[in-house]
Amino acid sequence: MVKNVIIILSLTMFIGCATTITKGEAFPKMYKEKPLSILVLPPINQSTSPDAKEYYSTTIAEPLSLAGYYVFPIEIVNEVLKQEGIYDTELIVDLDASKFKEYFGADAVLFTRIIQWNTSYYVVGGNVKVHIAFDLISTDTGEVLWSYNGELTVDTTGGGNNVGGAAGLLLQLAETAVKTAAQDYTPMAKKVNTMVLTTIPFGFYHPQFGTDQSLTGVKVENVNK
Amino acid sequence: MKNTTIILLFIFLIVGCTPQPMYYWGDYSNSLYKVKKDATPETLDKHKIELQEIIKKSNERGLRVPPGINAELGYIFLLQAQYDQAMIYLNKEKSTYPESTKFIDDLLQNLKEGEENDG
Repeated sequence: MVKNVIIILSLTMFIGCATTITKGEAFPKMYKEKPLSILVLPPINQSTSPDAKEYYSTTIAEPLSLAGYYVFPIEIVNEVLKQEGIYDTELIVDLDASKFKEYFGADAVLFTRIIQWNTSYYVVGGNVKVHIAFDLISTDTGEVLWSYNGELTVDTTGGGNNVGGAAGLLLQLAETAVKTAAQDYTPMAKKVNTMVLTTIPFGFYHPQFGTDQSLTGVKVENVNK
Repeated sequence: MKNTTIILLFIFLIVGCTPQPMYYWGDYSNSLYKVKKDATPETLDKHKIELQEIIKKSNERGLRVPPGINAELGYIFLLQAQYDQAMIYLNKEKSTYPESTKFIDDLLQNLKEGEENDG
């Protein structure tokens, strides 16, 4: 089985098209360990937007719970970490994962990285992009149980107008600026969460827990290395 | 009469077969977002009401209260020094999700110490 997967992956690297595999093939450790509870840490913000971290935190508990996991109350966890002087997840990235079991009773820890949460302007248009990566670490073994990343780009280029020449161009630029400024990142982050969490094996509370190994659609290139 | 009965039975079947979502989260993330954007007594109070609404609707629909919701409400009561209410909701989190026991017990321990210091 594994040999076939390796052959297929090698061929795909030559052909260069997207390979999708099943949840069971992509994340065997999840099915072996079956973590029940997940500690979500504050996101690591690699974007240029300082608000991203706070706003992103409001979006993750719901979809993760719907995947069937117990999620420790994020607002309280954040306060507890702050009281311990931990303002940035970067400080505890290399911490022995078993500490999270010791201090919180968590079976797994979710690290999220906000890779992009920003606006781009180009010659006559603009877009807004949200790109987030997820890594679920076992507090038992320290190994990666599940990982994935997803991104969403929304084109906020101003609409075509009938004003010709330079005036028309300026109008379009202004429209782009307004659309881009108004674009709310949080709904985009929610969409990214939903997209990415379709690949996580169902947790204990999900009605189909333990039956989804053969569900396909996991894009190999989106699994974090 | 017979046709109406058949149609009604059919409708009940379809409605019965429609899976209910696992949890009712209400307007949680928007409510919390407003607190993050602008942390005032008003936004916090609205969020507290939203948490209570989620708990109420979950109970009405026979659903488990979503993970963390009881605890978050308990924590807000804790911050407002309403220790009795805090204990009720923190304990509800424990009884709904036994895997939260260590986390909640540690919080309750801090609550006890806080109360002793205040008293």
